[in-house]
Amino acid sequence: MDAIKFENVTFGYHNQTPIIENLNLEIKKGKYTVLLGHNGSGKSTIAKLAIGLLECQDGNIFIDGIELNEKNLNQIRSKVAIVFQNPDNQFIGSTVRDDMAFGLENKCVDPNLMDAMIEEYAKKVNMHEFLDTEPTNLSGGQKQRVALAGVLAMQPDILILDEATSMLDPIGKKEIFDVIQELKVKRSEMTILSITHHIEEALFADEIIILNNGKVVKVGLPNDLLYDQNLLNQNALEAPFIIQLEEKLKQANIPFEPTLDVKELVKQL
Amino acid sequence: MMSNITLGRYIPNNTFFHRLDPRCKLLLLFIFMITIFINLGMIGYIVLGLVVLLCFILSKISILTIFKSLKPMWFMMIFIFVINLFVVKTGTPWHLGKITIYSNAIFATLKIVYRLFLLISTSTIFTATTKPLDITIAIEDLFAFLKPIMNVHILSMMISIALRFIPTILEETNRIMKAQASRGVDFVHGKLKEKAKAITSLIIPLFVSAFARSDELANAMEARSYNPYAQRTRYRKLHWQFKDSLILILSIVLLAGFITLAITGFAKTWNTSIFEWIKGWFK
Ligand SMILES: Nc1ncnc2c1ncn2[C@@H]1O[C@H](COP(=O)(O)OP(=O)(O)O)[C@@H](O)[C@H]1O
Ligand SMILES: [Mg+2]
Repeated sequence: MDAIKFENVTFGYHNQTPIIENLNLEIKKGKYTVLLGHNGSGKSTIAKLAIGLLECQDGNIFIDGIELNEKNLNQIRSKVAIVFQNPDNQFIGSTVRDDMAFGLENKCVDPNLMDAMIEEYAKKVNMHEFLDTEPTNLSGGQKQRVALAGVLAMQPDILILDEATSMLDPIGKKEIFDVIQELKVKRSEMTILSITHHIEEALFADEIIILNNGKVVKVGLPNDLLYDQNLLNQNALEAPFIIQLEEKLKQANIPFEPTLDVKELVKQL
Repeated sequence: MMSNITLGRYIPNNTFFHRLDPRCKLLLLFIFMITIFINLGMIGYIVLGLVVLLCFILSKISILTIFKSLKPMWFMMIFIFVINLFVVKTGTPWHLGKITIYSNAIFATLKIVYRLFLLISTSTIFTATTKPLDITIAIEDLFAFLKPIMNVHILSMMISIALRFIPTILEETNRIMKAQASRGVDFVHGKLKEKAKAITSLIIPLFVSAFARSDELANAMEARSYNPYAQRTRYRKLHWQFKDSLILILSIVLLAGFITLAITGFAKTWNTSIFEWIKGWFK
């Protein structure tokens, strides 16, 4: 069974020309999948469809085998959580603590249990020292980590990250990325779908889906897709730094074993 | 320009006032507002002023903060004074060259300004000692009796989100102003028409971004299972203590005392009533 499954889904904003047409998509359970596509290729639209913020005009969407419809929206939302792009526009509470409590309040969690949960999940993203800080005094990366902790505290089965790092500086990007890496290792039963046009995030994916103009172009492993210059070019994507570097090494006739791990490559050289 | 807004800003501390229950403080503010608009007479106003002074001392707010928050009042004071100059023609006339000023014009102005001063001071004490979040919770709790006819939770959620986004939008305003200034828009100099044009170049992008923001915020809230009509629990709890009851009863007694004094006419012997003054205006 797939965590997320789109079956012949068609969707267009305001019933205009569809942005997505007859889309079929499968996100495997417990895996770290990266959905790659350039700006405007329909990635956010797919994310919003999956969590029921948008309603498709045609086709079916299944979450953990349950068909998404108006009646089971609540059930679906307790399974799927999402972190959006803009750190400011998803910070609802007046402090870190209150923002993390917001989702728990919606889930009707007993207020007496909340403090312990907030502490626990804030620790996971290394924000436990900022629990009483207001959002104006936090960096973008810190706000995104709070957003992440807030949705993790709701204990979802599926986590969607919609360009969660694209508005952050390199340090902020790395902080979020490290947390996700750790999640991948520690909570292997959680499905993670990372939506991005930032190709470096795809290096450690279990599966990569390349999207263009609302259509799935290719599904595969990092090793297969990321070395395919033609494929990347056609979809307005740029090869990750390490692969560009390896190309150069090849041209310079320096012998090495191709790898996606920077440390490994450095060791070889 | 944006950073020196003091009116309504919370000042973190741990004084007696900070520790009072926000619901108690909100009720006190209501009671105080009613009291201010009763005609109290000289003694009443002095007593009230002393009460406010005591509150200031207890809440440890610096004098500077008060004066800053009173800044917008200077203009109003002059405005009221000028109007009174033309309207009030009672009391002792003083001749300054061609102009005649009546003593009651000055008294009436002082009275209004004093009331405004008390009003702004108490509001400042309230907002400086109560976290915005606690204010919204207090509102939600105090107006809970309205639940059968309206969703009080939505109201308090709206207020708390508005408060949460004020700094964000101020930051954005600053950024847009800088961006437009770097394109040659002048917000400071020029004729009124040019200024209006400059302001438009600020307002429009600001609105566009605010709408985009609210859209994303709504999505983020909904994605986190928010439904204002569904049942939900609340993380923040308020704790009503004995001292809250005590303070509340004290101030109700004070209010009752003032009302009795005003009704029995005791106050009138000290100063002309504001109602009489208004009546005289319509004659
Ligand atoms: N609210 C909206 N109304 C109308 N068109 C939209 C809306 N949001 C996105 N679009 C359009 O849908 C297309 C896909 O957008 P989106 O899913 O946000 O892409 P991505 O996330 O991959 O950048 C774009 O062409 C965009 O202009
Ligand atoms: Mg997007």
